[in-house]
Amino acid sequence: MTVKNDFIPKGDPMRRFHWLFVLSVGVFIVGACNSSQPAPAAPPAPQFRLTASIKDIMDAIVDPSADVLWESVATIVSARGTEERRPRTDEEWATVRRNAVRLLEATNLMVMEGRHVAKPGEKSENPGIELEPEEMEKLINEDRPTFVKFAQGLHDAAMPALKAIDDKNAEGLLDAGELIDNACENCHLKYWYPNTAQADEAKKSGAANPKKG
Amino acid sequence: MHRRMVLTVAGVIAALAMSGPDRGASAQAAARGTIKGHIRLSGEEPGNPVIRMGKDPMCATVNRGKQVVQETVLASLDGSLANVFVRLQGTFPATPVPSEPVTIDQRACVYVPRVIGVRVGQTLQVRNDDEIMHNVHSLSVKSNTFNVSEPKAGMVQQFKMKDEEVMLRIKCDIHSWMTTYVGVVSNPYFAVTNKAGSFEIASVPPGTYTIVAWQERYGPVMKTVTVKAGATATVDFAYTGKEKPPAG
Repeated sequence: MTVKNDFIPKGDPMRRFHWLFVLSVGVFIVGACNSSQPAPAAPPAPQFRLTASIKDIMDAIVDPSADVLWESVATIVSARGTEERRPRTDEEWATVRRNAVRLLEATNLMVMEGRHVAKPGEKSENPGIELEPEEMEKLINEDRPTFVKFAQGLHDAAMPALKAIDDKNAEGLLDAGELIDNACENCHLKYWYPNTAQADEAKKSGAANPKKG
Repeated sequence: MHRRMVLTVAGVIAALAMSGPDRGASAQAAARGTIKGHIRLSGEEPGNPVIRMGKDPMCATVNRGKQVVQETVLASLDGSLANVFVRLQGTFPATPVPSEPVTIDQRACVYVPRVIGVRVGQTLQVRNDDEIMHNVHSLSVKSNTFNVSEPKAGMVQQFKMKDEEVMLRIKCDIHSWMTTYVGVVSNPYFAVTNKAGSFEIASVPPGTYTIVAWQERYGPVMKTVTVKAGATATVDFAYTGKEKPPAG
């Protein structure tokens, strides 16, 4: 019994060349495929360009914005008399709202990966009472989810303020100020001055732990 | 002979009289000096917020019709600052610690006075004048920690001060607005400014000292003062209003 094999060229040099060409192309394609295997991946380019420290953000955004909210509604008594302070005009409400938005979004800025607590070499202004920046950073890095929850706690505490502003509800804004104050203080007791008596009390009462989100 | 003896006896009696307790005290006073001064705020007076006592209806009732303010910066129209704690820093000869306690009242849901001084080793007592439950909670970074309840009017809690601490803040956990500041110091050379912004520290041994003023919102400022026997030195302070508040 003979087997007819038309695939194998026999005799004709032209057909032999054709076969070699096909084989070469195949080898090239296989080689090309092999060479497209992933090389060691280069690290992705940073998505954000972080410039400021957490302390900078506190100083430049969080603190002044919270001050505007806290000071926008109050009865102030001085030697000159009594002032009923609250936003009255649309522009005054708009100013307060801008600060509420800054405060809300600053909580996201604070938790961005790679942001340091302070500039290199920066020292505590009240050593012994406050932690040094590197100690704060260590605390944050040891348990980052907790730090994120504190920041989110401030965000959530500021939301009622935004709502009160949108409703032009001065009393509501005054009440919301206390929530913001508590959120700030809870985080400070954990990371800024955790060795004070206030911090000890907060630990006992559970205030120095953020709500489980 | 007899006359000489009489004169001698008279001289001894006179000498004894001159060295008696009154004379000794006045001689000692003459050997000491006094520091007087005035403290003012040169910047704009920020005013103080009215305390919202609605959280505790009983406190609100006690204060009905009144505007009770958080006296963080108590300034008069001319800027005179009350409630500034002033003290001398340095080493001084030992003086007896007063046996009488220093008293702070919880009255109408605020602490009175807001700023006070006490010696290390002296007793600080806190009295509840309200038919309202308060507590007394010191936020000490030294060994002056206490946290006790005073549920009824007339109750008094006493605490012996253990460490120098400037300033020791005391609050009431039930009424978050209740705050008082105590300067716990190891020498008797301290004072708190009155409503006219004035202070006086008497019977100071002659010498050159650092004098430190502390204000609740603006923190410490210091100067050097030289005290001479039998004289009064004057030291005035002025806060701009831009000083950083104390941390914590």
